[in-house]
Amino acid sequence: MKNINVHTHIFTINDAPDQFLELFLPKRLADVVTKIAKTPAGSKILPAVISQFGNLGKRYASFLERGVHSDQLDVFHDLSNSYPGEDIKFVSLILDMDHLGNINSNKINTQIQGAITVKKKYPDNVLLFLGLDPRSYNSGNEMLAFVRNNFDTKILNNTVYPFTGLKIYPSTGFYVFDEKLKPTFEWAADNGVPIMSHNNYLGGIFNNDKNTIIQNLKGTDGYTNMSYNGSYITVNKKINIFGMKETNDNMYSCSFFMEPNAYESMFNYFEKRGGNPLKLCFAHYGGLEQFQYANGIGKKNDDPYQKNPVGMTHINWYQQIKTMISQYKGAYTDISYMVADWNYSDNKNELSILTNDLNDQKIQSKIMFGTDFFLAERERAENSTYSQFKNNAQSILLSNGESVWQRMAQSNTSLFLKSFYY
Amino acid sequence: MESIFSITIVQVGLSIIISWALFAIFCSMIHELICELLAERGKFLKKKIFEELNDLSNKMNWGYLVYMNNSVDLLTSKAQRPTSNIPTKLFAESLIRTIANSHMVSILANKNNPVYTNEILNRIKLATLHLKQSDVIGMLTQALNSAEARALDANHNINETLVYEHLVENISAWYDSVMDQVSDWYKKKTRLRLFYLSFIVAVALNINSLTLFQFFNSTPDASKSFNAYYEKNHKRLEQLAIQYSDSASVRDTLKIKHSIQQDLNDLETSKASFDSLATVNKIPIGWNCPDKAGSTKKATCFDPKNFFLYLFGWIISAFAASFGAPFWFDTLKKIYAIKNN
Repeated sequence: MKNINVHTHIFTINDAPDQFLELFLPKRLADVVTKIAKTPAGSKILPAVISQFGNLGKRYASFLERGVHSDQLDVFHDLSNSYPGEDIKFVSLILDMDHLGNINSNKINTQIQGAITVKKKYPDNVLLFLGLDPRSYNSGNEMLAFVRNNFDTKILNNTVYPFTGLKIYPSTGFYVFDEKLKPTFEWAADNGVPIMSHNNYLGGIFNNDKNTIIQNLKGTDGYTNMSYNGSYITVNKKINIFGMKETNDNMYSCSFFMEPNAYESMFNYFEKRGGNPLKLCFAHYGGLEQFQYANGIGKKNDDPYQKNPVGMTHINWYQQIKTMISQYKGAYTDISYMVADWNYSDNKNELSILTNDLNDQKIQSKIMFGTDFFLAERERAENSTYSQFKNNAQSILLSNGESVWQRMAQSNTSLFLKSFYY
Repeated sequence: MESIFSITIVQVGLSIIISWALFAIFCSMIHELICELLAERGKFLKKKIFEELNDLSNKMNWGYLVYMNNSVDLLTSKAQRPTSNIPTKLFAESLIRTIANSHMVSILANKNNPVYTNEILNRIKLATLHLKQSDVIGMLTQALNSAEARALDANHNINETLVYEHLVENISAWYDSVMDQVSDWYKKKTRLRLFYLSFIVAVALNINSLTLFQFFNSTPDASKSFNAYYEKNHKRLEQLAIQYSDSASVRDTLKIKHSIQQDLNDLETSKASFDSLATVNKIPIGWNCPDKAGSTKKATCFDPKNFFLYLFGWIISAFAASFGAPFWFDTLKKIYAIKNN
């Protein structure tokens, strides 16, 4: 079986909204930073500076570093060069970033086309997941038509299906139970098409428009028709410099959109519906801090928002995900980003917890290997993340005789990806 | 009757113009070196093509995809140094192929009956018929409609080869007109930047137009020497001015290609020549003035009490340089033509 990295990105800064930084910084400051970033010296110095500003800073720093690349092919070459001599497949996730705030961008099709260009060149190594956002479509059927057209139109002289799965990013301001997603998810379940969902507590990109968040937090569950009322959170821990307090509040509030609890009704619906289960991966296993907090390892963390995470349940996200992957047939998770973030000189803790999870019969087939290239490169170089994890994981055998590596990068990923299109 | 050119104030004026022309060449060279180091032209061209071909209705930036096209990609040596010159026909054909081969248009080709037997032409036709209206699709529709009309024979049969050729021609014509516009934008951007750069150079080297005016007014020999220098070197200087100009030809603005080494060599040679001219004539530029005859004290060319006058003088120098060397050499050429007649 081939090794598969189930979580990578190859988009460039050209695929992000033009005013991406304006979503997180005051306009003038954002203008200056963007201009500096576009100079050769700035593109090297700024990422190092920006990455000091928390998780979002790190992610934007990665954006800036990739911004110097002209297209997705260059980024993919960087990715594959991090795996010298390895025969490996990469799931490359396309992100719909057109609705990140009150500034609407119109770039998703450019990103899709750029990714397809890479797929055409490396059909056996690239597995594309099509990015979806319900706000980009007028109806569920319109979204389904878009998805089906894209999946069913083969490339390379009508020989290869371009897409393998779907990608959603709820923290940009929508719930997974949005009724517009329902027809597409039904189609996905029927065809075994896997879905990757971003579920990293307080990590990654989020919607940064307070009004949009407040408006969208009040949702109606498309599977139960019940209202789901997330509430805007004010975190009293930051001084308001350049409006950063509101940005921080927005980040915390967007947790409601991706809290695993919000996925329950959808999974229940598909369990009852019969037929194939809906395959959905809660990416990042809830995030490293939640993982460490739940297991009493890592840095001593007195943050009350780690102890009682923002959301409807205030239950630790790692625990929530662990419960759901054991409960629902189609629920999966991956260790992307956290695998680059944990301390490798003392990684026995994380790896031994993962090994325990992989020895648990209920969830042993549900945890996958992924890295979150290139967004995780601010934490550790891709090559180092991959080789260190692989070396360690290969040396640990599970109760069924398989190594942790084989289980996570081969068996589980193959199971997750298997579909009509793969 | 005494010639107007022998009047002192006219000679001073000519010397000042020559100084401005030389200063403008010097600043243009520095500017060019910066542009080359930062690959400014290529980046500007790329940015403008991205803007022109950004199709918001279809959420597609065709410009970005044109740059991913192999033919255009081959023109780029490094990702950070995009090409500053995409030949017209190559651009037109790349754009046609980019649109025709896009996944979005492949979906249309899968769902609709063919209009043309030529696959590329068929896909372009489908794109014009089914993609959402936008500036880019509007341009494409117009280019195709015109190509179809021109490819009709007397019996109203359409020649597909001709349609394709005319389509390439029409898109080429559109690209040329966009390039003219882009060159104009680049010129405007350059002029403003040249002003700022010239101001920095004027302050750094203390090149003050007011001081120069006073100097030439009080030193007729230096004024004569400047005029003689110009008359002796005008051909070489004019050539240099055109070489480092952004306004020699608007269409070619983005095509100007210097090597960094060539820029450095020219800058070094010109600096040596200008230095020698300034030293021989004891021109009051720089922060330490040339020693006055008989004076044992090191003189300074700056008096803080007159700071605002100095500032005004530097601004005049920078403003003059922002016009570009060709402007001043052109002016000198006309004046000398009258003088010599």
